[in-house]
Amino acid sequence: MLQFERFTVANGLRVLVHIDRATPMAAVNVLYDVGARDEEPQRTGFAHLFEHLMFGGSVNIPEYDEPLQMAGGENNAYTTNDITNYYIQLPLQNIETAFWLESDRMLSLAFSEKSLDVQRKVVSEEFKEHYLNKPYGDAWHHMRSLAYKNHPYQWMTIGKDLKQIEEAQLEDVKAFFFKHYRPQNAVLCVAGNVTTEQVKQLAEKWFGDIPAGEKYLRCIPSEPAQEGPRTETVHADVPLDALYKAWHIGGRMSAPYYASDLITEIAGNGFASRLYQRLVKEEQLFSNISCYHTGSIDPGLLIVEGKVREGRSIDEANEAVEKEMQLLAEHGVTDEELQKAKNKIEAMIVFEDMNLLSRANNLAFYELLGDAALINDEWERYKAVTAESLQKTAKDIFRKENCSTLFYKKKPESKA
Amino acid sequence: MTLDRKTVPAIHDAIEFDYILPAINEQTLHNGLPLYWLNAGVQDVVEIDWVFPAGVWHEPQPSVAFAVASLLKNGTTKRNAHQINEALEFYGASLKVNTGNDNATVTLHSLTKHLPDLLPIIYDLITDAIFQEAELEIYKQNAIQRLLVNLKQCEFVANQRIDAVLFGEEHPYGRFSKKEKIEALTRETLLAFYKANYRLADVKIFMGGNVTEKEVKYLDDIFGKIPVQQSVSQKENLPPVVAGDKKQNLLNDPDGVQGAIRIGRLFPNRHHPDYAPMVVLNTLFGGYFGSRLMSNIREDKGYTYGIYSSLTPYHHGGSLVIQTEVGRDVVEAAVKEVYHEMELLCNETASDDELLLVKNYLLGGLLGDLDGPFSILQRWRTIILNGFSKDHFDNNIRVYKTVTAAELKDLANRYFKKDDFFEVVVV
Repeated sequence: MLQFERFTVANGLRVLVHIDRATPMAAVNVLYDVGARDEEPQRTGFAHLFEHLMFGGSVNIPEYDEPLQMAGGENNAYTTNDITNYYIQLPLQNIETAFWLESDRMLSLAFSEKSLDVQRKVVSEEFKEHYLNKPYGDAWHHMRSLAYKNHPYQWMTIGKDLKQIEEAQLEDVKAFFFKHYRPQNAVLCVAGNVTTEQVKQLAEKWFGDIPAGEKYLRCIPSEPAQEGPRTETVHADVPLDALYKAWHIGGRMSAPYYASDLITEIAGNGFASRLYQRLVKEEQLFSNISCYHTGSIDPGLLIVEGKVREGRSIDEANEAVEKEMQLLAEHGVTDEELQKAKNKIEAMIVFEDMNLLSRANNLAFYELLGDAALINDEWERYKAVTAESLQKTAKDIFRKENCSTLFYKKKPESKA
Repeated sequence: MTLDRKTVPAIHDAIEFDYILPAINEQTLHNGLPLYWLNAGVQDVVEIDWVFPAGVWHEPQPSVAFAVASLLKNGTTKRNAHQINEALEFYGASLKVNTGNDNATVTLHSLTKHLPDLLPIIYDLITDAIFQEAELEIYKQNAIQRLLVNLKQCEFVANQRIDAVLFGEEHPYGRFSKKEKIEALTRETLLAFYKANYRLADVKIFMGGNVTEKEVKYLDDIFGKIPVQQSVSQKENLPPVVAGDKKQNLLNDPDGVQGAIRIGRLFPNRHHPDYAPMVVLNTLFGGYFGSRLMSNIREDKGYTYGIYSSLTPYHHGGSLVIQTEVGRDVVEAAVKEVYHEMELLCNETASDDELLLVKNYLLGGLLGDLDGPFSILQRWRTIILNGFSKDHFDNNIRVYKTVTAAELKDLANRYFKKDDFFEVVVV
């Protein structure tokens, strides 16, 4: 059970306080309600590029990292299709440094040409390192655009195309900032041996005078139900054929979400999972296989991906996966399988709670979802899933017309 | 009163803090096996590590240590692979076997409440793994396929090559994975290595988390009852280090858009008096986001997504390696900047501000590390496996706090000479 207190600054900034008396450290987490799903189709990768620019100096502080490191702190950030999250961990005594830094970059960035110029290049190198210069690195690019036709989840957070990043202008950057990086679009969570009074006082002092700005009203095209199976085949210079399959699942706040999560555990997480045991060990159709889901706020995808074993056909591999998923839908899971999946989730929740930063991050995320208190109901929601309700969800997911399949094949001439 | 946003709020320098490594309990099980354990943290979790002298250093032929570690969970006389994984996963536990250059470590993470159910399984696979032919065949096939995928990546190839260049391909620390070596593995070789190197008599056990005497007893009941024979200390033949070419340029992927750069040299391990001050100098040079290398090559020039310099200490030596992936067209420029930054270290004394920054950063992070049970356990593992005492930790803290810029410049002049470095570039 995570305890927390909550208050809102007059400009709309939501603040959570989580007290941990044992740790000498403090965590300060600022979550902005903006991700790649908020981008326009011709400006993809912007939310993530922006995350880089947030370290390029703010209106009163030329250097973000240096003073934080001087205070013994460490920080980083990440962008997903849904959110952008910034976090700091530092010795409790220096907590005010975090308020000073985070409030100034919420107030306004410096918007320097130099920073934009450098970060465009850095992000281009990140794009190359992770998505171009890596075997199968662009698989998700294909998968997303196959599975989503309307919703902006059709592109990756890094963006559709390097060119869109290279063309980003300072004007775009400014507009993006004042649209999304306003106090009312943010959640601040402070964790450590603090008092709510102390955090209130610091939050008022440092964030209180930041203009509320205009409320961003999210208006994202929703994804219509998929009406028929989709397939795509790509050829690339890779040593092995790989199979990617995606089925649409419910969003983060929908009831079937918990069953979907448990299905991925049972189907393909770990050496004792169904797909691994049957298709890697027994049938030896794959050299590896996994099943997971995108965990997104809007309706996401449940994925099965695997590398086909040399000498076996990708079509045969595909049929075998479909058969396994059919089995799940038609016969459900055993009580023991369900218990195993729940035990894994229970352990995962406890292990996550060990870490101060992850507690701060999770609380902020649930607040963004609507209420930080939801985090304390999570385990109950998993426990409430029965073999019957799980099978119902499985039946709903594993329909042929709900599936997109990407055949990622090695070029005939590329040698293994 | 308007708020002064320009001035940094007053800070407490992390170099002024006290750093206390919480004590560890040292005891022996009934059969004499050493157990080191500590109770810390509030969550009901436990980590146990069983450390064996079973790293790459000890293997009779390449790829054996990794194969044994990977297949340890894949079958005993009593349980097949699926039953083992099923049992572990049923309790939501994770069991990993990691092979390093020196040791192999079996690591269990679990909720403390499941420990009595899990320990017998782990005892089983540590003492009675059978390495079935069929499991080995699947392993070989899949390991080779994984290798083929990895070999498509310039950074993977560069990592292999820099170690080979520094130590020599025949040296255990310089060896790298090859298809033929994996194909050549036999059940007999694996079993022999397992019997010789995963002997219970040679294990050191580390346990941390929400644990008490009760969990110690569980461990003793399972691991402390069977008599073990005093281990004969293994012969430590030091193979010679045979350095390779000073510069290697490899074209791994003609269409590659990036080059992986590795620039490295041998560097002594933790036993050497230069090690602790080098931790500070290396941090300043390339060990954190504000480092010289990152500031110049990423934040000023935008050549890369990241550049780091790191120390890798082993029992019988070690290395210092700078690594980065940069745009193919700026490989040369990036290499030049790395050497330029080394030269600056040798020629100019770092400012007091920069040194204080590095020390505060380094020590601030350590404060966080001394917070969680598993990171405290990790520190103790390093101390104990290297044969140090707790003084070692306190001495290091003293060095981090007191080392001067002049001493670091002197250190740089001894270790950051361009001619001592080896260079690998893989596109």
